[in-house]
Amino acid sequence: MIPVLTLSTGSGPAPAGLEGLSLPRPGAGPAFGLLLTTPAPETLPETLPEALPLPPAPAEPADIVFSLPPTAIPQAGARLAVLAEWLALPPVEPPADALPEVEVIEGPMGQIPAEALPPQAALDLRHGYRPALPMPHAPLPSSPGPVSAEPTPERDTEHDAPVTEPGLIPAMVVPLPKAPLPEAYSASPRTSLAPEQPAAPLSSGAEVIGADLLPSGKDRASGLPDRQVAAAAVVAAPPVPAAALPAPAPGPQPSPVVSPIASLQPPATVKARSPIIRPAAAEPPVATNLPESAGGADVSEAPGGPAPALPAAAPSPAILAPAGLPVPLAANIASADVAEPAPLPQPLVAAPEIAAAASAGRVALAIEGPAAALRVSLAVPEADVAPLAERRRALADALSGQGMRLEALSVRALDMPQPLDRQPAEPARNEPLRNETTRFEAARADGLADAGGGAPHERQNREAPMPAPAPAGGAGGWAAAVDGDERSPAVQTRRGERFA
Amino acid sequence: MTDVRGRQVMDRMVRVRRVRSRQAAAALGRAQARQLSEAGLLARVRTLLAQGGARTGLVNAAELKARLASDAMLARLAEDVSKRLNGTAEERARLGEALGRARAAVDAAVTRRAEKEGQSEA
Repeated sequence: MIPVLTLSTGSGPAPAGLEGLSLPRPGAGPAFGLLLTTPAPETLPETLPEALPLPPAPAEPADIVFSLPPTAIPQAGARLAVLAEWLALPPVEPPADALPEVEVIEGPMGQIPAEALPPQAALDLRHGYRPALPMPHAPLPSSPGPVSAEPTPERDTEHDAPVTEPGLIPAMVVPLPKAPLPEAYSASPRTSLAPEQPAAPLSSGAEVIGADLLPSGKDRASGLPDRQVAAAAVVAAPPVPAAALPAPAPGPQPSPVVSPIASLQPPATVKARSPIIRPAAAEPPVATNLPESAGGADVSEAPGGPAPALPAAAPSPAILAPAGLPVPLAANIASADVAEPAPLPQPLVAAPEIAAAASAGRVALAIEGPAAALRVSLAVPEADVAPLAERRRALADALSGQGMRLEALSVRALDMPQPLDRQPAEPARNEPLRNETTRFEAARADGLADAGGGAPHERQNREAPMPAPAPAGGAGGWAAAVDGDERSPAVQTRRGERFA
Repeated sequence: MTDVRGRQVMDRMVRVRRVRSRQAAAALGRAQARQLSEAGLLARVRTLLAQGGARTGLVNAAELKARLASDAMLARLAEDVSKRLNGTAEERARLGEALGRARAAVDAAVTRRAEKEGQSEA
């Protein structure tokens, strides 16, 4: 006698002679049972689908075929895996940290266009996340800040702000303050930039962002609120005697010089700004922090006392430009504004049919957290738990290749049909028979992808016992055997429940 | 003194351009990894599609319907992944060109710095 393996899908009345065996409860949705029968040869129908009473079509078609057991859908585990992997793909939109076009920077010496800077650093500055560089968005002080800074080690990593070195200020471009500078300043090479200093309150009530605005304590007396130096970025300008500066001509200030590179940028990201040198305020400062090595003399110690004050109206950048040098870097950099911050990555959104099926209770699928740390929960047929668990490594690798991290992949067994005599009075849809949830802490992208890697507790999590796969030919947690002996157990669930 | 400062500026420019070059290389690497993963996923989806209804044996109407629905979903997945793959390929090409330009910028800066050094020594 050749056993006939019959798959019965859906709900409905049991076939003749098979009542009470393993048919899914009515209204339970796409639940499935496995019947192993040994019918008499003369009763064996030619085609089982026509012979067996087909269950009525469900009210809602099973649009999520992955809720079917593997016996109904070929390679259901692999299909689940590709579904999970597809869901883990990042959105089609470019990521926020996508690099803009890197243009070949060619121009006169001394010009470092703003677009040469790491965009992330610019964004950090815009949002104030990284206080390594001063943010001149605070109200300008009218009195000096009392801060001196320690030298900052040079940072040259791709994630850090642009490198700094003594005598140079970072060519970081930040929006210039709207308010005019209270004092004019000269080209003062800076000695350091402190990355993190507490804000120092000033007498005017303003706060100094960065707190390294003055390179030395000596400059406190000078009262140079040179936070704007960061935006001005006068790198190579030798000291200019204040007395030698001619008074600015009346009338509108000259427009800043925009580098050719800046002109190549999209208008949305680069716009011309007004000159960074504004009319000075009441207290004209003097240049006191020019090291002699840079060609300047400490005028505060020079014979005759401090240098004469600057004129009331500060000169234009072109006037401040030293002889022999092209357009000052100040005007060049100040002419470019940082780009608007890119939008954050959109959260992953499942396909509509998946969401609909999840709402209908046929598929439990959840993606939590940001896209950078993905957490996937899948409810799959029990036989698919092990194959999907084996795929978690590939899923984690795929995510790590996209700069994402699979935080957790939770797989639990989908509910299996219950015998008719054990059904509750009001059967709830998708009431799980198995509450065991196998949680696999996925290998993180930062080198823990190996099965043996990671901390002991992580390995233990990865090696968590998984539900045993279903026997060959089995479906879900069901194993039915009718061997011609009516007293033999007809149905035995994995939990050990036996039903005649 | 101007030469000294000029060299400092050039050094800084070289560093900035190197940073940009490394960032471009990292972006290109991410695009390549994404392209590989998408290509692998597309191959698996297409394999499943090719083997979709190839199960032998008797099937009833519900199973057949389920298989067809499964294949339809796989087809949609394949189409989506294919679009993603095309976009990633274009992005990879663009990033590759950007990396080339960034490296050219580094070379130009280094060359200019060397020329500057040579002029100073002369």
